[in-house]
Amino acid sequence: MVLADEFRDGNVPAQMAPLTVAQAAFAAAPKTVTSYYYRGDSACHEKKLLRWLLDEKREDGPAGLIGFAVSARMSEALHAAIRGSSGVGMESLR
Amino acid sequence: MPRRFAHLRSDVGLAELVGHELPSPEAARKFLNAFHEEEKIEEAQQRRLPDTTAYIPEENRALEGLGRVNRDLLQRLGERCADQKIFTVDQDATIIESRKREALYTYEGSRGYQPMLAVWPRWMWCWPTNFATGMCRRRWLR
Repeated sequence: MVLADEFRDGNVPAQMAPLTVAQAAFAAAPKTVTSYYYRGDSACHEKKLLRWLLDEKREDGPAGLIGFAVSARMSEALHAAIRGSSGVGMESLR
Repeated sequence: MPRRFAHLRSDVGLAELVGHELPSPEAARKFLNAFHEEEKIEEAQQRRLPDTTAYIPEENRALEGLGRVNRDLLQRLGERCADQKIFTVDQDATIIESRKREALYTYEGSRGYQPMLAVWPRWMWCWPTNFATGMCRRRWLR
């Protein structure tokens, strides 16, 4: 079921302002739901959106926990952290 | 687009299925044009940061109204499926290729549009039980 959409030109980077659509989607939630979750690909790895999801007193959205999973964009720092980790508790998905 | 509407309009079965005659190509064009507002585009262009080319116009009144219709629909569906307590938003941008002159190049190299969509994937579990009982497949109900 489509909750919200934003028409964009082809040259608009997917990572540009994803929060607007997320807020519109949560605003469309039926009043009967009690648990909120969010998932997105690396285009949703954007500071404003992640801060909004983390903030349980967020503006223009449901109060409380939103469980979320967002693909991280690979960076040198993240790559180094992964290579440097012991791997305990991690599972390869390949 | 008008040619396709003319084709759809000639389909008697489709009209019977949706419950009314489909609009003429001209009526459809006028309806769709109501969602386009040049001023909103110019405003968005002026708000662009230096060194950026992309922009996202704000919704005009017609688009906001369409959004309200969708939200109202979701509330009504929620009332019918009150046992759905978990709300999951799945957000993604999708490239829609287009040959329109105005269509711009996407990062994949093709020309088109890239709408951002947020969907509620779990709704499929609920939908057939309420609106398509007669043709509902067992696997949809799991």
